[in-house]
Amino acid sequence: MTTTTPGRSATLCTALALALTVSAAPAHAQTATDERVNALEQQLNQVLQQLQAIQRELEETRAEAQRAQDTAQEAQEQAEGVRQLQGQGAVAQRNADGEPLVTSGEPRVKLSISGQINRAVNLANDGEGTDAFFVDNDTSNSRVRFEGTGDLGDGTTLGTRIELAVSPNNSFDVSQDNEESGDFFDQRKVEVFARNDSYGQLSFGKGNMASEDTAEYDLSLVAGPIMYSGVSDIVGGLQFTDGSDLTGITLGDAFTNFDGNGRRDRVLYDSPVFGPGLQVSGAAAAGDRYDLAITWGGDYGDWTGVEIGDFLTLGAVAISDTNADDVDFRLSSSGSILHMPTGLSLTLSAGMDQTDGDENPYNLYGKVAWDTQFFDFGPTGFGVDLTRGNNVCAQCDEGYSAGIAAVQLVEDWGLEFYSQYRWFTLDTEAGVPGTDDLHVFTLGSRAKF
Amino acid sequence: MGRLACTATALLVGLAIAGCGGIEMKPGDQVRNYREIRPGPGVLTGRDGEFVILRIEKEDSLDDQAVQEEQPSPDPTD
Repeated sequence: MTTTTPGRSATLCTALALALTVSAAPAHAQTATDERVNALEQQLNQVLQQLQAIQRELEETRAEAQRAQDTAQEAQEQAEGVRQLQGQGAVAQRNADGEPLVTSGEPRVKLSISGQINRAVNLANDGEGTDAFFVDNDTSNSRVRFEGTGDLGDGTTLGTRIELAVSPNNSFDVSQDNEESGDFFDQRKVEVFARNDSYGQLSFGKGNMASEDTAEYDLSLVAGPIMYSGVSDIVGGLQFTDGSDLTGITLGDAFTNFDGNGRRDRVLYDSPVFGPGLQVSGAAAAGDRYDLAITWGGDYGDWTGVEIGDFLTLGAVAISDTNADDVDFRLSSSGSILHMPTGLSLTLSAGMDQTDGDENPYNLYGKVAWDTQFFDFGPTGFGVDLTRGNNVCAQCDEGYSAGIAAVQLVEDWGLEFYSQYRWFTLDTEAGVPGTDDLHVFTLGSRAKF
Repeated sequence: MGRLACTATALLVGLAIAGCGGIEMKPGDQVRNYREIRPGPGVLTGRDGEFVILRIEKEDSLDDQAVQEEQPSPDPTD
């Protein structure tokens, strides 16, 4: 039998209450924690969203920056292109204006390079057969020139000039038994000169003697590349045959125009131009060679001529001591007159050596030429000439040559195209086998670069 | 014969010059020595016919250019 007292019940109740209180307190705490966690989760989500938004903005900014960089690069490339085009345009403009590429303005010192190529094909019949010869035309061979000039003021110019001939298979060397004569280099001019309008010109070094070209003054167009008094230059190496064999007599031996002393290592003085075109020149060269020349319209070798009414005139005479055996002196002369309205011209040349022998060798030359303009791109020239040589070489008696030539210029390109037919005949001295006539047809072009 | 021809040619040239006394004569203005490198344009060198690899300008021309650049352009309405 169980009995309960009031004090015991109260104690139990109190204990239960405490137990309930104790058991209820953790549940309340759990609820608060969950709320805080939820709040934190929400905050974290917001932060993540903000971070993602920031990241997107950052990526967009980077993309924009990249696009801006690409655009800037393209703009830079375009600007560079424009600058290059502008530069090319400026160069083209300068070229169109004829101004030099390096600088512009009035020159005080100038160094320049120029030159030409002159190649031809000769179809020659020597009585034994016909053959083609590919040559560099010695009438005006291929060459390059370096020239420096300085304006010292008061009409005085100081200059230097180096001119080199680079002429493979030179037409004066090529022959029937040597169609490939090989390289030909010639230091044509290596000189320094000083010119004053009042005192003339003094030249020192290798270059033209006073008498050089005095048998070759010529105003016709065909004279440039092919037809002048030096009729054998285009085929100077070819030999006459006796119908079956070569004779050893070259056209260069048999036909020469006795043109002074050529180019030498010398001192040359050219007087100033008196009146409209008169000049006196004298030179002394190595090897005891001297000469004296009087020219009309020569203008320091430019051949500008003298205008007299409708006519343009040009002329020269010279006497030379060539220091050759048995030759006392050489006389050279030539003259040319051009009727400017019609383009018709007449050119004469004569030259001789005064020798110790009975018969002095000489050469006479005459040409009628016509310069006209058929095409817009440049003038056209025609010429017919005749040469007589006498005793020009040891085995030679009389020789004749006649030719007909044409030349067409393309002025803007510095080009010339030319052709010529020429006939040579030679009588030989007694005891020397006779020679067959020689016929040559030439096609060629000269290009100034 | 040869000497005669040369003398005759020289005399003709002399007579032609002397005979032209009283007639107006003037120097030609065109280079006609066509057997030298021709003046005028070239295939590669253009209108000048030469490559100018060095050119030094006059000092006074440079000064003139500088003065021209400093000066204001003239008023077209003047």
